[in-house]
Amino acid sequence: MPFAEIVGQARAVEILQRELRTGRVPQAYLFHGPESVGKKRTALAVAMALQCRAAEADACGACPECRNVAAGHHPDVRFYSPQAKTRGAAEKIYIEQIRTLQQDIALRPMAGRMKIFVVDDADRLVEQAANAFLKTLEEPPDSSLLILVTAFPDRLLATIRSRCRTVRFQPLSPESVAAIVAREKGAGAEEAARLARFAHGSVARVLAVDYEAMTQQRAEFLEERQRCAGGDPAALFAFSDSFTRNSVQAAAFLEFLVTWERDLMALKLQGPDAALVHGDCAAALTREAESRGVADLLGRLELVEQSLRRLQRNVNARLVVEAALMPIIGELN
Amino acid sequence: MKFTIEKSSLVTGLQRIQAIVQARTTMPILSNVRLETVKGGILLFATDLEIGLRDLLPAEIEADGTITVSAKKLYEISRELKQDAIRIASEDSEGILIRSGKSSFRLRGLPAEEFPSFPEIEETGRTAVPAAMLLEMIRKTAYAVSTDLTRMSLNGVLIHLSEQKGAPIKMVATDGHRLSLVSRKLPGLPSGGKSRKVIVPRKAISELKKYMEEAERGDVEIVFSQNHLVFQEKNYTLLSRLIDGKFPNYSDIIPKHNPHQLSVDREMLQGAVRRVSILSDEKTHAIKLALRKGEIQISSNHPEIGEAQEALSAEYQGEDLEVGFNVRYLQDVASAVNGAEIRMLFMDALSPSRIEDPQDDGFLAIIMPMRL
Repeated sequence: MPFAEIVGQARAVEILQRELRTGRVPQAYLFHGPESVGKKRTALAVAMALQCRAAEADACGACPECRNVAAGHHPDVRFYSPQAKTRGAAEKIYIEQIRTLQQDIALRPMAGRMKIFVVDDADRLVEQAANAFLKTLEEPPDSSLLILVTAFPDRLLATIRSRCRTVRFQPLSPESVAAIVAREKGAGAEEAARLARFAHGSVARVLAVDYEAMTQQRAEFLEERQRCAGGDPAALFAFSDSFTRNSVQAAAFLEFLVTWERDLMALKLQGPDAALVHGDCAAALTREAESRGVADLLGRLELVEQSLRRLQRNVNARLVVEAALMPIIGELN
Repeated sequence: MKFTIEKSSLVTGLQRIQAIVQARTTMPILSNVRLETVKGGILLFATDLEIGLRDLLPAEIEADGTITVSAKKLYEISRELKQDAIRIASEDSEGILIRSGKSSFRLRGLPAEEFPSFPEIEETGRTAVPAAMLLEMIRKTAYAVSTDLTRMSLNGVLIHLSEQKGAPIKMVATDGHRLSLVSRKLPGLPSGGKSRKVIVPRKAISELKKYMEEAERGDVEIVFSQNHLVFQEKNYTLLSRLIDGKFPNYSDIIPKHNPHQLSVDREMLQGAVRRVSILSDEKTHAIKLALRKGEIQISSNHPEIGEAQEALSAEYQGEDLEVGFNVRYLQDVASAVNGAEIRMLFMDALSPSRIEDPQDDGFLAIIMPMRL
């Protein structure tokens, strides 16, 4: 993948290309930034650029080397990502994986000029693996490059961070997300823009979920929210009970609430011209916005955002959803 | 692709690659073998991305083609076939049809384009070594290769070829506790004219050893390049990535002035060590050598089970000395010695001991003693 195909990360790409051109590639990079903004794709682009025999400080994308990297079977480009030891267990990067990496990195390249090892979600290295990995980071062989990718650099050992050159990736602008969606899904400009807003800034999500399903899910969520607002606490508890073992679904619901509350706020402050995530529900949103004050809306938005953060920190999904919905009980009475 | 091949030749060829294809599962295609028709036969290629093995098997080719199929299944099938002639044909990259007598098998395959290609070797020099010599050198060094993954540069055998005319080829292995070195004069001159030190991973060494032990072999060509080492013998080509690291400067480690010299009958020593080791501690594997004038006493002591000792008459004129060794290290080095006698040279109880073979000037080993 040539660097030109990386969307919305001009600064990171510029730094990397400059280092490739001047031959000052370090022994290890740490790519960090929000989730699904193109860190791993950029790592792939760096690997390709280093293996490509046609282009200078970039990848042609067409030569056998480039194609092999893209297809995942270049003998000198390896990917390591978290795996579950047993079915259903948490996905981590285990010591066994780091040991294979260490055995592999100790050998000279098979076909190319360099060996490139990409460690995705490096924050999920188990402690033992992180310590073993540190040893490799201390003295990697000359002909190798390590690229660590993470959305949570703070969770890495400080000693690992300090041995890598860090490259920061920025959150994607809605325009960048829309451009990627248009390319990957073949969507028209307008639909791409709408999907991009819907996706809460995450490319991975917008590519994985289709619009139909999202709309349908939103309708269900709205209905549940209405029922709670109707004043029946039993309805709230029945609803939140469905999240007991499903924090993914709970996150989806809370993310919906965040965008919904955000739209209400936008309407309240900017009036009918505001750009809405749920533009197709403008009528319902306007009605609700009119009935509420700014302070009230702000408090509500803060609450749902905080709930989402709590959920990410592993607080019980059911309790988080209940707490987020409690204030709206009986609101429609 | 369409060809007829003799069963024995196909089975032997496939057997050689079994150890290479099994290991890795991250790239499913690596459990396959690549089959390619060439003039006069079939070219087999298998790799685990550390080493690669290419072999030409004579076959009667009717139509050209290339494909990859499961190396294990093809081996199992061809091994079990009753008839001598095996006919293999493929219409496309989807698979092959194997026929022999009244049996037929359809084996699914993967297109050869997805299989890693045999890397281009930018040759920087080569040398020919008689197989018997190479095999002996491997036998006398490979036992000392380290298995410690944190020191990968010791996980292989160093091949050292000096640029000086008439200089020998040397092979060295060490795990930090012991070292083994063999040097041999080469019959021919190496080309390339440069001093070379390369570390060949254990796996390549053991595959090469297996091949040379199969039958009498001719000269083995060793081809050097920046990243690889290639061993060639007739149709057989073994390729290995080199270990990217620095091998310790072994000549600094070799003790040169150990004054106390012991000479003992090798088989008697081996027998005594084997018997005494029965009661050595399972954790430390320690045995003790007590050296007196004209005699050594070998003993072991297991705190819970008991103790053993055996005396051997030996040629020893040095001062009285007690040295502890890991019994396995002593057994390994004793089996590497060819001659009837083994010579050991000591400084004191804790300095490295030097072991020699009176009948082989080119062999030298070092063992670090254990603190008793």
